Amino acid sequence: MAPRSLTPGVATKGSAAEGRSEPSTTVRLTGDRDLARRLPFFDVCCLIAVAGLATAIGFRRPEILALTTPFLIAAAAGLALWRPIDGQISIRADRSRILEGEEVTILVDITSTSGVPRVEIELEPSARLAAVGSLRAVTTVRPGSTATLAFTVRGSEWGIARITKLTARLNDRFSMFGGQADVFTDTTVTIGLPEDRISASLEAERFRRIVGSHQSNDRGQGMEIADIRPFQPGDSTRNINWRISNRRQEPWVTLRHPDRSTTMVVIVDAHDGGDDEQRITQRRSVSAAMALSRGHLAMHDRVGLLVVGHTVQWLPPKLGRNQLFQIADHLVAVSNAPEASRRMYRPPAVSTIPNNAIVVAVSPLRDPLMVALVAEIRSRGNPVSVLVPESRQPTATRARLRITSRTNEQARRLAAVEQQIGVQSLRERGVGIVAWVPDDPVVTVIDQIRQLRMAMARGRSW
Amino acid sequence: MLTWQIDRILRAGPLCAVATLLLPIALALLVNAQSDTENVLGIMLVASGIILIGSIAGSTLTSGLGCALFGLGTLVAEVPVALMAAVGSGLYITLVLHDLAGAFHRGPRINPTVWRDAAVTTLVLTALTAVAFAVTYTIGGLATWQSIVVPFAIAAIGFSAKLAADAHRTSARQLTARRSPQPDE
Repeated sequence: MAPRSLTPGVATKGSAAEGRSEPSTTVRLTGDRDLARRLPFFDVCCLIAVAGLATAIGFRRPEILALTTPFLIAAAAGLALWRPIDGQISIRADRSRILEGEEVTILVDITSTSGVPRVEIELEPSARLAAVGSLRAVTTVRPGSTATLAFTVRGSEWGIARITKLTARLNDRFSMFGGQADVFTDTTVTIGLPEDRISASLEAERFRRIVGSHQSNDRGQGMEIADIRPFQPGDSTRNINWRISNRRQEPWVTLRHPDRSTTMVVIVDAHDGGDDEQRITQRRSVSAAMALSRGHLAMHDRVGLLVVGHTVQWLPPKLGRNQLFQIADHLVAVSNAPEASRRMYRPPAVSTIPNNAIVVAVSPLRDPLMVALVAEIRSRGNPVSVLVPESRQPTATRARLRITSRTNEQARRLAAVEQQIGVQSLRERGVGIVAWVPDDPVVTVIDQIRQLRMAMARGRSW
Repeated sequence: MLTWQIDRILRAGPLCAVATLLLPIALALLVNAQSDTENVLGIMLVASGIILIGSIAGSTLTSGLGCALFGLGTLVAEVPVALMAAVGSGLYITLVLHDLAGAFHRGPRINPTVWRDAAVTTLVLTALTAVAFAVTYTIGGLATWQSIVVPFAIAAIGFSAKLAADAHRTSARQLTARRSPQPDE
């Protein structure tokens, strides 16, 4: 069965809660050859009718036709009353963003000008969406009307989920003609982590002086204009306001509020999420990065994001709520990243990280290339901290120990030694490293980073 | 309340499949009660089992084979014509139930209008069949008409089937004809 061509459109009905319409996928059924096929019911009716006629004529017993006349009339009526199927199906989700564990309603609208006596709709969601109830429904579309079917699915795992396929089976009134259409949709639902609501921030007293609102009353170098006054000896010529100076016929300078907000860059190591343990580690990394970003953006800090893994994604540091959504989208996409076959740890973004930016990397530091990346950023003068999510040690039963080969055990030990070497080399370069044990909440471990940074600042380690 | 109960029963595919067994069994018992021929009940019960297997497996051809076998058993039973007409309608209803069982499998949500439309269509068709056959058989039973009408009736049925098939083929060609791409506005 060949997939149908899709026509992206915009649904007429939007989500009432969000006040905007969600994108929908529409497929036209008009002129579809696969929906005008002969069904087995027609063949069986014709066979029984023909057999009855032949027997009645052959044996000269017209009463045999009493058995087969319904099938004959049904086949004739099916042929005579058949009309081409005309209509379209559109599919949309009532919300495009949910949190893990929340439910989303998938709406399927079937519109037909000539009517469809029977239409079966079946949805096939991706693995991150779990069905709540049946994802199949059978309905009738009256001529010139729209039938709407609602299916409920639950976000079972964070990431980007989609309704991969919609199967529509349509019949005529006598089940004689019809067919099946497989529609590969692009209806996506972004499933965020429940921990996304947690916010945490590092203490940044060295970088910020917040008085009242998030703007200082001091005057200094910054973006916000505070005042203008005549030029005085010692003033920088860079601050001369040429328009005012021209009007007053003497040099005047512009005074600005100091820009004391800090710049934060969060690095997430999107390592392979192959097994369950790695997926848990990935989840914790993303939740920590999200909590840090949320906390600092709430304090009017500029926050950037660097995701390294199979591909490199770089979001330059910016302010505001829109940046938070951008970061959330990039972090959610980490879950859907393909397994890394070749890593790229020398992204061009490294040179664009501001020199005064605080860099916090969330990485298990299993890969020497990641260690090298952190070391390179540190060598450029940035204060760098690394949050190392530790894996939960598997409870090794005797049977499991027997199954585990010696080679695997030695490889694991070598990897652990290599990780320790990397950690030690980073510590020697002045990188603050905090181990994150599985049971610790995000806020606690970020507070540990804060304390470590303050201790290192007191010891002039930076 | 009664509508709700009927609706609830008919929404389940397995119940439709069970109905495809119970209805032929009831017809078989009825035919057997009116017949003096031996072993007819066995043939029709086997046919009922084949129809059930077809419904469970979702094979319309198997159920059709069961219907044909059931019809053969009815023919052997030498029952009155009215009962044969009732059996014919019952077999058609059984096939419709088989089709609904396939559509309602895995317990999906069914709009009540689906089975309501199917029921109305089947009943109308059954009634139409009964009337048409009664009229045709009565007229055909007359000695004068028998030699004249029956050949014409058979020819008329064949001709009407051909006309319907031609009409369907024409519509299908119009529907599936390749259209030249429209230039962009």
